[in-house]
Amino acid sequence: MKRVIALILGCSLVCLSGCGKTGTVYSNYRELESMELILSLGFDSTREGVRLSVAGGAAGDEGNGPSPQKITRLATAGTSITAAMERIQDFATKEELFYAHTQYVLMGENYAKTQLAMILDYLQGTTGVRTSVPLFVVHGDTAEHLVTSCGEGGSDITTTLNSTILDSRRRGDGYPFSCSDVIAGQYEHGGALIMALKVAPTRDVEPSAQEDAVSPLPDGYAIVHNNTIVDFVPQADARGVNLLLEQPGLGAVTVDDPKAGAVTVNMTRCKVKLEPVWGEDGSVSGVQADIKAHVYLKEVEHPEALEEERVLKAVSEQLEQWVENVLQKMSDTEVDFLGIGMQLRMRHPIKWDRAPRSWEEVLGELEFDAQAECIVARAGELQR
Amino acid sequence: MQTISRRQMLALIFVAMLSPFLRLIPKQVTAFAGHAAWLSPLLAFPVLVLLAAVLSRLLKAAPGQGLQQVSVKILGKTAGNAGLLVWSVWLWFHAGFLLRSGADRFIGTIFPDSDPWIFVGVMAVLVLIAGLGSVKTLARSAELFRPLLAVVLTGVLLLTLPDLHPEFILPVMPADTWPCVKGSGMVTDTMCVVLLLAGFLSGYERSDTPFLRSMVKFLAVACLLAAAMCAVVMGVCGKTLTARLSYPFFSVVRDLTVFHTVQRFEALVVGLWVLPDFVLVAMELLIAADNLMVVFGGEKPHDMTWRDGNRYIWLGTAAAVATAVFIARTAGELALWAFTLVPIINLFLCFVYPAVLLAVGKARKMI
Repeated sequence: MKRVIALILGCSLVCLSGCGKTGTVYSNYRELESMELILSLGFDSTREGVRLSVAGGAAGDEGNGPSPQKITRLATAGTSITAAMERIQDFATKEELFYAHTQYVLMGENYAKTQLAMILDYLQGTTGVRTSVPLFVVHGDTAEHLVTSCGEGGSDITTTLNSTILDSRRRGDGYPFSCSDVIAGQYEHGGALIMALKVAPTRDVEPSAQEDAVSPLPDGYAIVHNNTIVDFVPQADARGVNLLLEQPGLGAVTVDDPKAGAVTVNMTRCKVKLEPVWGEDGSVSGVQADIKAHVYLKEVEHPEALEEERVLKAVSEQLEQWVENVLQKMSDTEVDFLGIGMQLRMRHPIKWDRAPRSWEEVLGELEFDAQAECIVARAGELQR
Repeated sequence: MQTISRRQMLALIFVAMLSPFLRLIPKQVTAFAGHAAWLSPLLAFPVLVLLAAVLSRLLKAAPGQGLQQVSVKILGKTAGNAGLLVWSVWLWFHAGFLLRSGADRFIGTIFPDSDPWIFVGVMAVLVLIAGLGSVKTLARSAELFRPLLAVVLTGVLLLTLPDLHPEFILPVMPADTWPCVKGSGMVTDTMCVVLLLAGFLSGYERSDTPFLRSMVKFLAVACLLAAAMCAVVMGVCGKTLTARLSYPFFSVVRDLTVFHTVQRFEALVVGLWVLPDFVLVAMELLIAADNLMVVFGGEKPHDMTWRDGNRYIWLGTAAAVATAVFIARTAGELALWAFTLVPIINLFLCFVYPAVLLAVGKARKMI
């Protein structure tokens, strides 16, 4: 009997062949060459339901050696995301559009305002796309415009966004929140942020670019509450979000000094410590933010007139302004999009829970005070 | 008589424990305990140690033998055999449920358009072959599987740490105690079944180390692992999303990117969880067969035919497959079994049966 079983098992190895059309047990086996890897998805609202745009690069034609990448850009509409995906498959040149490695999901502003729940629910439920995929809102435009008109030659929206995000994180004025960040943020603290992009004509900076070519530029953050966009954090204050996230990047801070002219410093690191300010009734009445930044001097218009203290004070005021503006936006919209309340509760849980008015109740009336302290990270560099 | 060492026994129950582990932890624990769910495994620890102590006490009634012989000795032939019959039926049913829920895990995480039958069929053949073989072979397999699964589990938890939000799991306040206690029921359910299986398999075991001491060490590791799992998954997803996702741990694995080079390896991790299913179902079939041999007599020869005890393995596999086919027509029905009925019945049997044995044994002054 053991021999018979060994023989059956031995024969069954034939079925484990990797060749898809020679009796494999893998019903969903696909050759790499037959798949079109989709790397960016765009969603817009239409009368029909949803308009889906996709962009991706093929792995190259058969044969040896590198071959130029073929960029795929498609767009179609459907009554649902699945229906649109099925319809767009009809226009694909390969056997299957493959979404498992999607890197970015873009939403037109209208779509994000009206149908955000649909995309979050889809991404949460599907096994096809990761929920850690970063989301973007295209401010004042459609996602399709960026997905289908961005990039030339071998580049497309994915490669351009790779660069945009890298630069933005380095500067400290953008952070690509993922789908799971948005879902968990809404569940846990009632709000979340999505990085916003604006569409800019590529010709503005590259005269040889095609007339209709566009590029994505960071444009602050969209504030999400109850699965809709309620407001935006403007790009001018986006650095405040990154400071509160402790993702300051190495971004330059330029201040206008009355004597030294334009002075630019770079941040090497930055910590923000938040403390609640308690009101007379025991409820939170405000938030105190202590910012500690390490900076070094990058550029001075008139080095001979430079005064370290004055420059550091001006930089500190700029950091305070960014943080206060973001906290004020949180209070104005009454949406705790960064989970500040949860962070504060972690520091003072007993007092927090005993407060007569809850965080949600006081959120709209809070006062903020940010105090920044800048430390020269590299000795001597400001003492020219 | 084939024998296994204590080390092999611990390998068996560790690997077997991982099968229900990811079904109930952290999803169901979080549903009860909220953001403090990571403390539930620590609260389950003393309860599980108590159960291990009861089992240890019972096993001393028949040194060198398993819970089967202890049952007959304490309860008498009629009641003891009836108890063993109940256990056999339950183990067959539980094995069938595991076949189906294992298939459901594949469908829910990797193959959304598939039917469960191919997974049920393949696993049934594998456990049939394992059941017809010896306990020692199964134990050796578990010894090989254990480090692999432990490394994968620990690796995933460590790689996920940078994405953890401490504010999602802290602070823990006195008001969280009762929800944590409720959540500890699910952790207890995950681990009590393997303790009972260890008791039944004790007849095969030869070891000088006290049963209780080994089990306490095992439970300490298992509870810490469960606590770490709850803390990490909830720290990433938050309590509400964790409770809503079908398989939060595998969702976290799906989102993992290792050093910006490797991603989408969740299929490999889900595939690895076939090993705990395989070990647990095979153990259940073996123990059910041993129980029935005590009830009806007979020996289990080391071949793969219908002779003597092996007929119970064939029967058990058939019963398990039938259960897997008929237990639920929809995912909702399966969820009812998975999160409500099976844990309740399991907890009841795992705690009430040893308690009855202890009470009767004490009354008859056999313990």
